[in-house]
Amino acid sequence: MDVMLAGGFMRFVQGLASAAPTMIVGLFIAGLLRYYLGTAGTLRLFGGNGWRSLPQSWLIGMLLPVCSIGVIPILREMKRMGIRPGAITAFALSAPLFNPLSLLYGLTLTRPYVIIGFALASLGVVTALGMVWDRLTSWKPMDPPKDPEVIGLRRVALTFLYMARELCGPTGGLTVVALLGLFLLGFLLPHGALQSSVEQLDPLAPLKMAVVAIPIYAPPMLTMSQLGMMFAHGNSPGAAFCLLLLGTGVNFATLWWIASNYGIKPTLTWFTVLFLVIVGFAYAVERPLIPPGVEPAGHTHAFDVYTNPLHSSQGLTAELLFSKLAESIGVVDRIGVGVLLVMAIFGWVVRLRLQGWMERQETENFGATYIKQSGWNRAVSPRVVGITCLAGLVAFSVVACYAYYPSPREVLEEMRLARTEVLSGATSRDYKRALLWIPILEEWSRKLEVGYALRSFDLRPYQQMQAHLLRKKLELLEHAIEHASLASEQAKGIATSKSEIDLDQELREIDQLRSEISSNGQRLSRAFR
Amino acid sequence: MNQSHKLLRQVFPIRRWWSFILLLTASSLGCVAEKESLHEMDHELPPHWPQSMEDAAQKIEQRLGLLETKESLETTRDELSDLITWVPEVAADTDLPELEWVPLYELSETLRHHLSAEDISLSDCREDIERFVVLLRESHAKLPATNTIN
Repeated sequence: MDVMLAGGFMRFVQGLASAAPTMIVGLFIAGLLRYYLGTAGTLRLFGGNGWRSLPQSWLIGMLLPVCSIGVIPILREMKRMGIRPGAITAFALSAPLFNPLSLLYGLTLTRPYVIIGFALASLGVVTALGMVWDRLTSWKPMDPPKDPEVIGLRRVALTFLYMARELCGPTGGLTVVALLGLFLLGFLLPHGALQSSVEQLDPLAPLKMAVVAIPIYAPPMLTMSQLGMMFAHGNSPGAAFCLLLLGTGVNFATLWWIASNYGIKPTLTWFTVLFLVIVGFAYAVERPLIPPGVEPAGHTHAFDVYTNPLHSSQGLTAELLFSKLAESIGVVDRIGVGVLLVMAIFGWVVRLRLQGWMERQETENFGATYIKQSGWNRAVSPRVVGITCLAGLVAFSVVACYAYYPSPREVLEEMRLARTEVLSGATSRDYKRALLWIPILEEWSRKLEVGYALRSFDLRPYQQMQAHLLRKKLELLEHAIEHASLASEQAKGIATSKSEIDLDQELREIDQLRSEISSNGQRLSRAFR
Repeated sequence: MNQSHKLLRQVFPIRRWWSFILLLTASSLGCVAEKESLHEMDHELPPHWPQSMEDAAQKIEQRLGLLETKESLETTRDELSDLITWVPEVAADTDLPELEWVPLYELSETLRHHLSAEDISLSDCREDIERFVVLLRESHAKLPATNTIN
């Protein structure tokens, strides 16, 4: 029981860390909509109240870098402004699925048309669902709420105070609800379970995935790497589609928010339709999307991150928990958690001390009193500022793509360092070091492909094949190391000739893979230089 | 948030709803069992996986021969298709330069496409497959002697 609770807690904390960056972006976008774009601007941004609003909300969602938790404060603002429910759900479902970073990453995972097909299918799903949802909620246009008229530095301050207050209020509460899904999975699912639940052509695979995906919270980049693992292991493509739409698009908080705003019965009907459409589509694409030439591995590691990270036989100590958490949370996520913590403390102060001040600023009219139009000091409408901020955010995502996926020359250098760590770990039998660096090298190999494609608008089959071979060998090495460790334990316990032969075989395999990875390094460099 | 509080007050439907999800989750995960290690499951290579380009050429010729005698037609055809699809990977895992690898890859892709779409009969592809085997042997011969295992 302790291990189950600790596992659930670890998944909760890891989920919070991975949500932090996109959550901050989501809060910022909600602030922009409230204080800059205003009701009319936001309505126009999401395509008004006509048919255009559904595909346009989908498109805006695809461009903005938010996850299914970061989308919550935006949904709250959209609802407050009276935007039609269909457009709200279209945005809620599509925004977490893709962003420029994850889309680029996704294009290198399998044949590009599969990922583009997934994106277009999501457009079909959100449009169909949006229409159903508008009927279910019998929505009618309402009088728009009065927009705050504050401008200048006061407006900037209000935007940041609003972000902090939201975090320390409904959005924070809903974040906990969303992450409870991860807690539940970590609590219920034993270590490494689900490895053989989504095999290719398993008639139940898409359905099983769809059910498991409901409590899952996954940021877009994580889902993309999971899709990559599923394609590499020859798992069910239909299950991958279910994971993308239900795992990334929806979490417990999304459902909770929709149910609390539109009622339980319509939400149940909406969700049932969503579930059936997604599962139906998943079964339709199961056969056509099977990647050619990929031999099914009979298992997948894509869902290891949702099962209990601890083994039941492991002795549970605070040190072990801390070290496992420290290993799994990256620098960017740590910074994100730090920023969130500061914002939450600040939000608490806002709620206790500055609530009245904020309300006064929002209702009183300060607008025209200090606008002086001279030279460069021009009055600019809030809508122009808001649109500029949003366009800046999209431009920032594009720039971030180039920073996140550096030039091949830089990546190859990083890969050389990571490869040295892996190979020297395997040579010196320091398996912990090798296992720590294998995923890092794998990630760099993906970045190498995307970074090259971004700069050359091309990725040759030979380059893709070399990167694929590296990842394949790294995974085989991971398996061989795990087996060697187990065989070594057995040989220490009861030294039989069989356990010694097993160990000897695994060690030989490790040496063989070591030499193959080293040769691959030279070919990879030649291919990408 | 008031709406959320209202929702909380309607405890029954929520309990039913959550129980339903839990039940579905639990029933679909009936087969889950704890693993000793995350990598205890192995990647098994299929028995007809070629060890080298020369091996691939031999195995393809063997399957072509079997298909002539109509022995175990479907399995043999599937294995032939597998072998043709795997050749680019096997060839890329050698020191074969990219320029020499590309023709192998392109011919493999064309053959794989026709074999999976079944738009051309096998007898019509035979010549192309034989050309593919020749190309494989030529490529294999160009490799340095130390690099013939893969």
